[in-house]
Amino acid sequence: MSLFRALSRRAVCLLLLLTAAEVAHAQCDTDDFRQFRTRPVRPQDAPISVDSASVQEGSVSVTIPLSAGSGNVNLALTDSGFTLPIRVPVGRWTWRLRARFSAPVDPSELLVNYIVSNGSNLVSNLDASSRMQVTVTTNRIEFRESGPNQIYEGWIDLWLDPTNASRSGAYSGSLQIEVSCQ
Amino acid sequence: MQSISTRFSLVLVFVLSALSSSSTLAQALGQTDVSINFPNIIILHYPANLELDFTANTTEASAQLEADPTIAAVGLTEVVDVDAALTLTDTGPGATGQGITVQNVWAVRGITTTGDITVAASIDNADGTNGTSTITMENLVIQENGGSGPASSIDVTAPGFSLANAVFGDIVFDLDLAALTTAGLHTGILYTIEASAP
Repeated sequence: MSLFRALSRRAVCLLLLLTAAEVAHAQCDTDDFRQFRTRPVRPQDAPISVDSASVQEGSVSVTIPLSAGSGNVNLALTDSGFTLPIRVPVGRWTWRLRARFSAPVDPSELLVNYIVSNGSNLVSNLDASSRMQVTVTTNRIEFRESGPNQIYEGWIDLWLDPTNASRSGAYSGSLQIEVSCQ
Repeated sequence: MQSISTRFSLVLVFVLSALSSSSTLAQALGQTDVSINFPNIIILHYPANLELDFTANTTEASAQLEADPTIAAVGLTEVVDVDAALTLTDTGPGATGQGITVQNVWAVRGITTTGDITVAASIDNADGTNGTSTITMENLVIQENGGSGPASSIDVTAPGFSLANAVFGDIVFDLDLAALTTAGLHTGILYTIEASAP
């Protein structure tokens, strides 16, 4: 009888230990991923506050022989107007992961990878040779619990470098999003 | 037979349901479309003040050869007064406009709907003065350095925003020196370069 009681206590202790261990080690595991959704970055304006800029390059003096009638200023340009790359925060979540971890997993344990089509370029709808280099970063991952599930929503920033662009207007492309665990 | 068939269907549904609830994602993967609109953006670079220092070779001017005048025969008297009626040819710095080109004095960058940027030049104040001495800017046009123009307005290819790709341009004008009577600094000439989306 005493042996049975002792075994029972051990069993209870073991069960409690297992539960504690399960909570303590609630780590990100892709086996617990249940559903993944993405939402298009609908057409939105790049947040550029200026549409033109005049940059004064100081005073310039040039010597011109009257017999030649020509002189060269060789204007030295300063980088002004606005800062590149241009940050475009997308105003709603772009991806949503529903998972069923044994316990909530910190969003920082999610590993998110973004791949933009066309060699990380958005392409002008007017001229395919006009391209906008894009880098995508996670702005934040919002978390909430929904019953037994955990919902993670990813908000992204686009960083646009228009060095090789010549056209205004719409630029479009495709973004692949991969979420796994750290 | 009907009964067997029904049972089989129910079992099948149960199995599919079980598979669905136990399915997992090895990696969450999705694809989405991205679309961003850009306005016309143009950046114009220019000097706030442009000072032109002209140099001239005085011997060049003094060596100007003129056509031999024809002098009518006059009687030999104690005092001979002959009008050679020298006719001056207009070369070098003179009464008519002196053609001036100032290279790489403006530059543009940016993006537009058409892929072009229109650059235009105009004179706001033509005269530069030093006391009563006056010089006058005339016939101002622009040209892309090594490209389109000269004209009062030209279209250049929008190069984007890279400083390295900026499009440089020149101004070309005549300087009327007819009222130039004093050497030294003449100030007051004002011109405008305007860059816009065509």
